Amino acid sequence: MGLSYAGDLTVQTVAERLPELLAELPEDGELELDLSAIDEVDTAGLQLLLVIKREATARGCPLRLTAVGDSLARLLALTRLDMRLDPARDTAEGETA
Amino acid sequence: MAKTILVVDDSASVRQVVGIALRGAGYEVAEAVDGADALRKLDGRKLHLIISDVNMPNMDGITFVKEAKKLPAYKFTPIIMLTTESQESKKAEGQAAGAKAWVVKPFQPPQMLAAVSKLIMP
Amino acid sequence: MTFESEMLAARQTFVVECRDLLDEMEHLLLGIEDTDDPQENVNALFRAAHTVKGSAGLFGLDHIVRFAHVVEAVLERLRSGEIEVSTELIGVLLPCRDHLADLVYGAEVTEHATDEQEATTDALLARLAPFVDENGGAGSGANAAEAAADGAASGERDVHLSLRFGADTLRDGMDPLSFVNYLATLGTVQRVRVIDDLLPEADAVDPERCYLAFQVQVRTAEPIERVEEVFEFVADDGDIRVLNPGTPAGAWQDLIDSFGDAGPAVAEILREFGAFDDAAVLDAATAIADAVSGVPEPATPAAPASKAASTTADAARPAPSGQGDKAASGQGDKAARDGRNIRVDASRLDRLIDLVGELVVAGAAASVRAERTRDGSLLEAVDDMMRLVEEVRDSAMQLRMVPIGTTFARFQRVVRDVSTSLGKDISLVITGGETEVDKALVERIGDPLTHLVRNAVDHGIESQEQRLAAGKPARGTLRLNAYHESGSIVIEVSDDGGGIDRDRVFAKAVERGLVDESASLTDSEVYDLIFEPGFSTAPQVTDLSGRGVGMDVVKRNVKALRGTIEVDSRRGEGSTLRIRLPLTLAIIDGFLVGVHGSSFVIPLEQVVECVELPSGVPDRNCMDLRGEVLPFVRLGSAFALGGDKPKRENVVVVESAGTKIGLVVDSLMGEFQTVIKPLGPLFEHVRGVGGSTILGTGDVALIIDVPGLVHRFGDRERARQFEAVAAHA
Repeated sequence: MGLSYAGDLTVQTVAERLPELLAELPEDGELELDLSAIDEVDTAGLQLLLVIKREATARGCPLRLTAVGDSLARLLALTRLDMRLDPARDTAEGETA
Repeated sequence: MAKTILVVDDSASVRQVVGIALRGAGYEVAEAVDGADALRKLDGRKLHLIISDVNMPNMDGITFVKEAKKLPAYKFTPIIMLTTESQESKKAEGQAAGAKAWVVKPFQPPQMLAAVSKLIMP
Repeated sequence: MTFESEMLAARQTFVVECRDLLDEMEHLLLGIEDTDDPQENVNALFRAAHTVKGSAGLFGLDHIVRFAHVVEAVLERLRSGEIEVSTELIGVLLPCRDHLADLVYGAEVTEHATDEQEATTDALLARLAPFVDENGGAGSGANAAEAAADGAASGERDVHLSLRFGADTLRDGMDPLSFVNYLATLGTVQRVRVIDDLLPEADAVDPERCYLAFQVQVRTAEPIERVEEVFEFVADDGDIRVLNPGTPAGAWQDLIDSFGDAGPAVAEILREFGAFDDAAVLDAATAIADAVSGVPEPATPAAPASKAASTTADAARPAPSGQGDKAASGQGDKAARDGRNIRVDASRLDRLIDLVGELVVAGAAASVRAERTRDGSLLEAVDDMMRLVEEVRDSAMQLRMVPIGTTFARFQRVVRDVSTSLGKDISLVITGGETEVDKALVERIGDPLTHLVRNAVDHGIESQEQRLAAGKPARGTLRLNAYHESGSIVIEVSDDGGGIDRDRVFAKAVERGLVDESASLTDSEVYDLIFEPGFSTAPQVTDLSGRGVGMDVVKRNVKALRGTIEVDSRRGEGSTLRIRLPLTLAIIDGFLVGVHGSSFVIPLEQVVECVELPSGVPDRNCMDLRGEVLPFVRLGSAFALGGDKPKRENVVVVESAGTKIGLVVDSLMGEFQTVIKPLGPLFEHVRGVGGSTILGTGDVALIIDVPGLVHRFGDRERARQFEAVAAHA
């Protein structure tokens, strides 16, 4: 199952995004999240992804970030969380970062 | 996409210099001449940061911060208060109102840019 | 524009702004020995010097900052009462102001002072020296540069940062990762680990709360203090620790302990980072091994634990509020600070408005005469002129209009102070602050409003216990609202308190002999009694408002501004005091009428319509206006004018505060613009008259005070009418 998100993943939007994302977690199988169209991410957004990732793992439906935008790629690189969230990078910048 | 900062100060020269510094660092800058004017400019546009003076005519900075924090679209917008070293109590008032960051006047552009880049990533 | 030319333009703006402030400083210094309240002048002087210094600092005009700083320090001592105003001091401060002006004007062309200017600076600083505190007053302007220079002293090493942020950090708009990112400006960010052990399950998580903590290693040559400074905005609410690799084991153990359940994970990260020196690792090894094995369950779970000595919290904590707060919050001199505008002496503006008023009258006279000539082209020319005169009038009036919001904002403080001293919790909600009103009115309405606000806080809103008992929220709400309505500005002070106790007001009025026990009064008539002199209903006398708080004084003040005040109240739900004021004091659009050979002007904004008085109206002073009962007043008898009733009489229907009455006059002479001249002291007490004016013909006409008349005749007549109708039915 694949899902694509656009807009911001920031403190301004996380309260809305959390229930949305939880509702999208499938009963079984894998959730593929395409975040390449996300404009802005901050600590709240990153925290949200960690919550979802953990919840997905607990439910036995692995979450995969199929693509991330520049902004998120930078944060993941800064926090060394790219290993944990294991995003597939599809942007040229992501490749070299 | 460049991030947008609203600069609120009744002194035209302060707005000018801060504007020059911020634009030079790649930010978009919007300006307001006092709290009331600033509140009018919180019209739904996307702002990443607000820099506001404390003592201003029409509506002072503290009142402006309180009002801004009531608006859903701006309740999480970081705010830098321009305080002075003789106004420690104003800083506390500003913090209580929701302006958690400050720059002490007199400051020079590099100090302002440092505060800004602590709060928002380029 | 290039950067240089932009900065040059900005510096010119700075000079223009400072010119105003410097003029003000001179004026204040010259007046300081003659004024009743020198403190006010000192405060304004201090702020002016401070603003000049602040802006100069922004431009890196260090020679101005250096000089202004000492001047400011002297003014600060004057402000705090450490030194006193003396002829010697003024004698030094005046040349200081002149020199400051010289330096500022010089900045228009150069960033540096001339040798001559530097010499004057030094000479004046020497003269200021006796007034400067030996201990304090030393530079603050150049501090930043010095601090930066200090930084290079310590050698490069790997500093460890443990960052835990307050729960509200994200909601406050602070982005922890942005701070981490900023660390790159101090050196190289070697490693970062996110600690998410404190993050709850998805169904229990508050996504706007900050759960994440960070361990960061930065290779930098900056001293610890400079690294800590990065986090000064979040240090108060969080737990920020910056440790050198050589820091003794105890501090590392503290750090690990502060993470509670996540301690072992933190210890593991420290080990992985190689955060501490070889020497220290020996000491710390056993402690960390303990922590990793996780045997001792720490008592403090997720909540931020005690802060280590190295947090920056103390440095960042604000000092208790002091004198400076009060002075700075005074908005009285905001106009002076308002550098982007041209400041005009109020008396000059008043003179202009006066002249425009005379111009309007003269124009009206010319217009009357032109009409008599029946000269078409002259009439056209006069019409054009009158149109322009009207525009000039409107523009001139606009000059005096200011939003009422500033006046309102002042009350935040009043409400806070008064409610705190009474142990009440009251929030002030302000709406309509953008509503514009004549500056002269704004200045004069402040005191009455203060009375009303204090009164509402004191008597209007109940104690927290009473509110809770009545099923209301403990926190009371006071509202200030303003809006325009038919040529008036309406200001409302509302509270959600207990409302006015009609029976108690009535009983008190009877007791005071204000009304007869048998009188049957409408609710609003009863409420109006609170404006009678010496009236009070509060059972408990507080030191804040005392007895009755001079509601009569409030009413008198409002009346003096040609305004009215009324009360709306609902038992248990609260009260609203509504002040209605004319937009401006100087000029009105009037409707000219004739009564028994005299002329009267009725303010046009209060005129609803004109109708002919139906013949055969009985003596009862009311008529039928399209099925509505309209009480009326014969102006001729109201003002006891002699003369015969004409065959046909006209009724001018006027409205005030929602009540309509008719004014019976002989002739209608049309619209007329006029300047209000206040009545002389002889006539001040004449009811129903708000002023006089001179007609184009040179005759004097009285201006009708419609609210006064409506109040006098409207309510009573209507009540009587209803009773009559009821009795009839």
